[in-house]
Amino acid sequence: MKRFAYGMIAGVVAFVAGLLAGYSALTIGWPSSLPAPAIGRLIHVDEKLRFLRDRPELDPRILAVGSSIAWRQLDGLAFGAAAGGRARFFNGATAFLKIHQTADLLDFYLAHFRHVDTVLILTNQEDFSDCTTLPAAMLDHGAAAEYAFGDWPSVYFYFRYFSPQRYLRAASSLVRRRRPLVGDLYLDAYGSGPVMVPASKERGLRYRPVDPDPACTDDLIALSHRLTARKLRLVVVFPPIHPDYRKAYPETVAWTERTVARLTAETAADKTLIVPLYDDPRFAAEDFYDAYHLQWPGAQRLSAIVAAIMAQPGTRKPAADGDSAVPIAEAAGDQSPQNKTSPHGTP
Amino acid sequence: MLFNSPEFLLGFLPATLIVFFLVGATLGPARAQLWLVAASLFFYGWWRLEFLPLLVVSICFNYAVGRALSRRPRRWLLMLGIAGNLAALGWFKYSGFLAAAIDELTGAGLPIPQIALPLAISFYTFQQIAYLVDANAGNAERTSPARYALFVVFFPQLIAGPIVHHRELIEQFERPDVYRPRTTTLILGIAAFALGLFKKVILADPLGTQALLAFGPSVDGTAPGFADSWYGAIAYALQLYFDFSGYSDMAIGLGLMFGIRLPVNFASPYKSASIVEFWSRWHMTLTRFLTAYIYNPISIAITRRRAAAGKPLFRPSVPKTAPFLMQMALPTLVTMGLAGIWHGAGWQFAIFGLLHGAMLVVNHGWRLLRRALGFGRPQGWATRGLGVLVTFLAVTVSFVFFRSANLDQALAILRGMAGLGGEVVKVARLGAPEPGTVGPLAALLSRFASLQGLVVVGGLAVVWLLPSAPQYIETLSGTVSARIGSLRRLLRWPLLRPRQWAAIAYAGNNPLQGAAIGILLSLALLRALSVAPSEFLYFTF
Repeated sequence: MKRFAYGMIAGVVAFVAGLLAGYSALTIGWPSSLPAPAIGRLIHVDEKLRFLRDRPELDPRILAVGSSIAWRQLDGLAFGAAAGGRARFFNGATAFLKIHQTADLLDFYLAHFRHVDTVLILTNQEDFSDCTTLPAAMLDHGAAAEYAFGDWPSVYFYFRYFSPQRYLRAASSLVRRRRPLVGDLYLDAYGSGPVMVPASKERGLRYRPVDPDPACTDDLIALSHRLTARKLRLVVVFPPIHPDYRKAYPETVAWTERTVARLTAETAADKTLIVPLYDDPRFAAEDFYDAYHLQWPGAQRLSAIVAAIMAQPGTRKPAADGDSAVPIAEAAGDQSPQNKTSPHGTP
Repeated sequence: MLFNSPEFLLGFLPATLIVFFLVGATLGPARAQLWLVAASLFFYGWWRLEFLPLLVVSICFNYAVGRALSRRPRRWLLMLGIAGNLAALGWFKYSGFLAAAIDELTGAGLPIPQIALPLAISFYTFQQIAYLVDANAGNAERTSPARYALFVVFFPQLIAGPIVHHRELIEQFERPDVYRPRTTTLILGIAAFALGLFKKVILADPLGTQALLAFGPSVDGTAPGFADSWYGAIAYALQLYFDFSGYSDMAIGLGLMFGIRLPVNFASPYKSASIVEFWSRWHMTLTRFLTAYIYNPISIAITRRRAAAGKPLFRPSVPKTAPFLMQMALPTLVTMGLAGIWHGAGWQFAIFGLLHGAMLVVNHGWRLLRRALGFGRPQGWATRGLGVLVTFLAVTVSFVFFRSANLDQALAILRGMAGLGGEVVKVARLGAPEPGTVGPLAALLSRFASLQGLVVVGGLAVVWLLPSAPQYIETLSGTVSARIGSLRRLLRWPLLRPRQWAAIAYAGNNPLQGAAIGILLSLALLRALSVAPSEFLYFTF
């Protein structure tokens, strides 16, 4: 039995040595195949944390959050100049997030980025479901901060967040998935995930209407109040929806109209701007690769429009206390849903 | 406290083990027993302290009644003891279910009690009822309160079995050598624990994620597609086996570390070629108890009644329909129905049990018919392979009831398995195939061929090709040559012949096998101690 026991000890040592060797080989030889540590509940969140770890200089003033609607449709170039450079705009959005999950991730970012003055959310009906059924937390804030902003070596996190199946699955496709404009995990210099879907991979409208959860709207309103209390400006954009989808599912359009109206009314006293662009006629069917996502050129045009709206004198005024880097908030007497923004965001 | 939790692996287990042997060596067995009782109660109370008094009261009550019955058997006292146990079990486990069922039938608007279920109440109630029955029959030795308490609360088997018989545990605690650390049992224990932990965290947990392909979308009664239903159901059948048998292996390993041999609970059940064989390999200690304490008493009572009434009795050599139905089919259905309800309070569990009861009756009937018609026992690999496949699929279907939250969900998945379900709407992901673009069988095959499907295919390979963990541990303990005959019988199905397996798996306790176990243990420990959160499913699929 002793020989067996010695074998067991040797096996343990060999295993640990093998893991370290494998990690070293990947780090040195194939860094593009090394997934980020499995700290979050989505690989997309993990990749975002890796992005943050790799860019310690990041200090955004404008912080974008949300689901893929925000992640894939914001061109940092359009915002970076106004914000004061590449390091001052960060797209922290990631795939699949519902409104309450977005709020949770935003709290994580705001705990570290102290100079944010504007939070930008691009959203639509898809993000307004399951807020009472799905857990809000996509990651452990403390652990994520240790990795994203701390000094511990990466290898510690791979052992602490050991998930072989996840790592193997990710590593097998990471090179492809990180390919610019093609891969779903590609992150540009601003943290955005621009995509160009070729005609051969067209997905049609892809989405169907969801059953909206009113709690999601409540969560967004609560977020608006919270941000205002912290003297932060919130900009909520409902970006263009594919014209064919609007025709096929008028109930989604009706829901969006109602939600915009409710949000506008209930955040009237906040530093919040609601921008309804869901039926903007400047975006045609060929601009989309599914019901909700624009191809990258369309996303760039949308970004320019949103940036222009955010910069409009009519939507800004000096803050009362004057301590904000970019004073914001609507004119006090201009709070009706129709007048809160220009109807289609025309600059 | 779970066996795969950091607080157990890094704190409770080493501390309990070291103090147990220290106390055993310095203060003697009686104090070591008290230490183990105290540690086991701590282990139990870690989950929810408020249920600890119930466990202690249950032990005191049953010990007192059992002691009185061993001194002088009395039927009324036995009935009182059993009623006390069943009352506690009924209140905590079944009152909500019964109230809901009565309310649904009568529409009386009854209040449905929301009662938290004390952990392991089914297990320790069952074990202690058996003790009372044996005490009344003069088959239970009188023992000290500490040893009795240890029989009930010994932490390796307290939460989920194996369901031990009082004799096999109490007798071992009476042996003085148990209180001295022995290298052999310690190493064997670590090896068994490693295999169990590996099954739990490396195989079962990922399979649970795969199973959600069927059990996730069906939670609201929506029938999943054919491929998702079968794939998810098979993944769940494997998950349940690896989870439960992994837990049993860990329990056996922990027992060995303390020098205690717990009974084997699983012997490669998915290699069974019939449902009768399946129940002789699946949750074997439960089958043993069901047979001894429910099936046999019912069957004997019916037989006596029929004999007293002068009715024909069942004889396997000359099978007749009425005796078969009354003496075999009826007790089987009642026993399995109760077994189903024992697993959980819900109609789906009752149907699970009755379904297995019906399959057992058909299986027994078929055997009798085959014998009556003069057909011999089926021979050959092909026949056995077909039997294994059919049995596995039948069991997989039955486990749909076991896993479902309610009957509606189970029926939805069965509709899906019958090809009557719709396709599940996929969440957008670049490069994902559009649903409904391939046929159902091709879709099912593509599931198995995917990267995620590897864990299912790997799981099938493990259950069909490898020996069970307890069989392997037996080979390490040096008793292989004495047991190789029985092992061969258990290993009929693998593609390799038993002799080839003997060369590979039973090569003895050499360092290479030790290294393999060391690697499995490291992998499983690292995963168990990992704090990586579970992934969101809409990403995975």
